[in-house]
Amino acid sequence: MVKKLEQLKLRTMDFEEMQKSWQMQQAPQLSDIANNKPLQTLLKDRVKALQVKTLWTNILMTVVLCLTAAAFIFILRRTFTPNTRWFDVGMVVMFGAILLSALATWLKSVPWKNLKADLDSRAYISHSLKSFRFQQTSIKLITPIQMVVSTIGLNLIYLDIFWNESWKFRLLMNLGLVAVMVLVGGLSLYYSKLRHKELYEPIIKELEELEQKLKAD
Amino acid sequence: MSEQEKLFEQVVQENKDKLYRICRACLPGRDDANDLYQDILVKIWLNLHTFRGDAKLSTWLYRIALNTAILHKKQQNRYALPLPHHVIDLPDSAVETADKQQQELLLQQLHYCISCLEKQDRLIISLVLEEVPYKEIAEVLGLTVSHVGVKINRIKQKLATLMEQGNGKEVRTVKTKNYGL
Repeated sequence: MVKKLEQLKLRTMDFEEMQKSWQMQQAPQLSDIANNKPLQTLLKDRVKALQVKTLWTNILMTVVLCLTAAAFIFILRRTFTPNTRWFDVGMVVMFGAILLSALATWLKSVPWKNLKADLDSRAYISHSLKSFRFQQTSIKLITPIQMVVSTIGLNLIYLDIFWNESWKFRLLMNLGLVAVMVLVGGLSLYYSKLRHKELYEPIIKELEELEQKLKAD
Repeated sequence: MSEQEKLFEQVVQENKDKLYRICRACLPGRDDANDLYQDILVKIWLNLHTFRGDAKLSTWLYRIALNTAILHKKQQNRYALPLPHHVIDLPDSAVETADKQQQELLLQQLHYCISCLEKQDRLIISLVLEEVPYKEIAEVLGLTVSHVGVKINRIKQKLATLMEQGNGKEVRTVKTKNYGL
């Protein structure tokens, strides 16, 4: 018993020594020689530059999208006389789908979104898991919904364009379009799922394990 | 320079060594630890506006550091910042003394033993080595103080065993180096 206590005391002493040695380590003196800037200033400046660049890229993307929509509405729509109202409905549906994609891209491109890095570790792991699972669900749901909406919009436009053609031709064109959209949507869904499986599934598994082990006694 | 920028520079300047040591405990490789250290500085800058003073600044910093380590190199890093070539790691001139070499050997062994621990244990030991109080570790991890205490005792025992096991190996390594074999 006494021997065990002595061993324990020795280990405690050793640990204190370890702590002292450990705390003698210093952060590397990283600095920008040319501008005499410390690492933190350099990193901060670069993050700020990247934030501005991302913002401008997104603004540019929105402007291009709005200009395309305006070109369709004010140029193409005026020169092209549709047969029915379905053309306009189709256009609205299509642009709705494009705008939603643009909004999703905008949100996705903001790197400082939902950081929440100041939560306690258990809450942070839980939050990260929710976020990754949401991304998993969004791939499963949003991509097909987007493809279905786009297919409906394009089919409505086709319906109007080929209004005066024979029903066989119209059916062929619409079925052809649906086939193409299913193929494109299917491939897009397959590759996003594959990418997600490679990128996120191991992370989700590791985080779940870490969460379990942190909770465990 | 804005108030936010001044605060950031001050916070980093005062805590850089602690943060770096946490990185060294969480990731065994020096290069990986350097990457993580930069990642943590970026996260501190991006989250600084969320610091309201409800928690201690040290608790807030430890949370950011540990959480960044948890997801480091797992998420696609959209704000990856490759540093230019003229950014260098300045050498420490004092490393040459015998005491420092001895210290360095002990540290190498400690680094090796820490790298043998499981991830969650490395996260915890990184704070224990900084002598962070149990209550604060519990706040950082989101666990109860008693739970943290139990975990820390186990990790200390594991580490002590690993250090004991590693002693002979370390001596052999040193001898080999001395005789140029």
